[in-house]
Amino acid sequence: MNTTLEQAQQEIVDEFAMLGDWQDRYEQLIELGKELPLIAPEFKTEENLVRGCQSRVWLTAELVSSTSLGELPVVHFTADSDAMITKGLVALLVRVLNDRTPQEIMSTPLTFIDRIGLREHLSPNRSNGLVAMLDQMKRYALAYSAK
Amino acid sequence: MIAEAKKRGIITVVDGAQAIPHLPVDVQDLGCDFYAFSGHKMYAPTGIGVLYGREELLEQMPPWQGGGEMIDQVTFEKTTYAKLPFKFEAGTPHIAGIIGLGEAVRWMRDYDLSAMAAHEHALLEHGTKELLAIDGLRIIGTAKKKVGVISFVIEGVHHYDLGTLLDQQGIAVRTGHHCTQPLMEHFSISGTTRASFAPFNTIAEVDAMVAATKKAVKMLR
Repeated sequence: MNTTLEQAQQEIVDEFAMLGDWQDRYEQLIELGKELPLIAPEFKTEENLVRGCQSRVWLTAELVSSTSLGELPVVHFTADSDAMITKGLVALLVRVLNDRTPQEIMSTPLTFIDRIGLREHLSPNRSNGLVAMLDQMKRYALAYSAK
Repeated sequence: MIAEAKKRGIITVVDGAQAIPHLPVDVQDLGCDFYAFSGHKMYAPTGIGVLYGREELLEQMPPWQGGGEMIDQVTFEKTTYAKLPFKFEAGTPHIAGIIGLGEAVRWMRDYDLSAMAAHEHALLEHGTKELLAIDGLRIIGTAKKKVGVISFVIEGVHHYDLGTLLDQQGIAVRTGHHCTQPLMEHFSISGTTRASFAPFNTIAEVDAMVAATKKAVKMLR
């Protein structure tokens, strides 16, 4: 792995720092949402659904063993949402947490959403599924760390 | 509906929280058995509301909660309860809220409720006409005599995204299923965006809402 989770967060903060007003920030999120690979329909199951009142998020994870010797297995996430802005945020979360060891996912605090001024989307009041998704990502990491 | 229920001996309870701030309401005219509304929808403090009930029915009902000030006589053989309304008002009441609600009622009575309703209707008609000009927009709920709310969906636009982008532009709307999931299922939609008008809103504000919606749709498509 080239970058640490911390560095990946910093990269996003730097990218967003170059954007001007709210409109640029949200256009960027919408773009990211459109770029996120669509989850295959067979993964859009009730089981993978992270329920939010406003928008819905689907999330799956698998533990991938590394091909190179001595490297630890990493968690690979696949996710999607029915709302574009939520999907953009999902894309950012997947970008920083994807293909990292369970230990790193559990031990690194996520600060970038706060730092790019999108904290309100992680408020429990928003009920967009993001808080629940983040919890679910950490639960997957916890479960895999025991393996 | 109330008349039909009465014919069949069914007790009617009206949730009037939405009507109270928008329409003149006369419970005797309506003929309902109970009418409830919350204070905060009519500019009163939160945590206080009113339940109107027909005296005859209230007399028949047992207290729902025990506490101070709600008893008449207590012996080991028999307890009798205080008269209405004390029977239903156990313990220390929400004094500050009650005073606030009373003031809100007095304040609202200084206004002409029919004129307010007419103004809201004008906002509703204008907003409806302007919103319908947006490509792919469909209004959910088109009753002839509805109050000042427009609930809508736009093809290819998720209500959460629209709500977020309207919020960024200083427009407050409600999005989601509005606690009516079975109704949403009936229309085969996951939710709507709902703009609600109050008497203090203006035509210019409705126009700002429509312009902000157009901008959001452009960003999302």
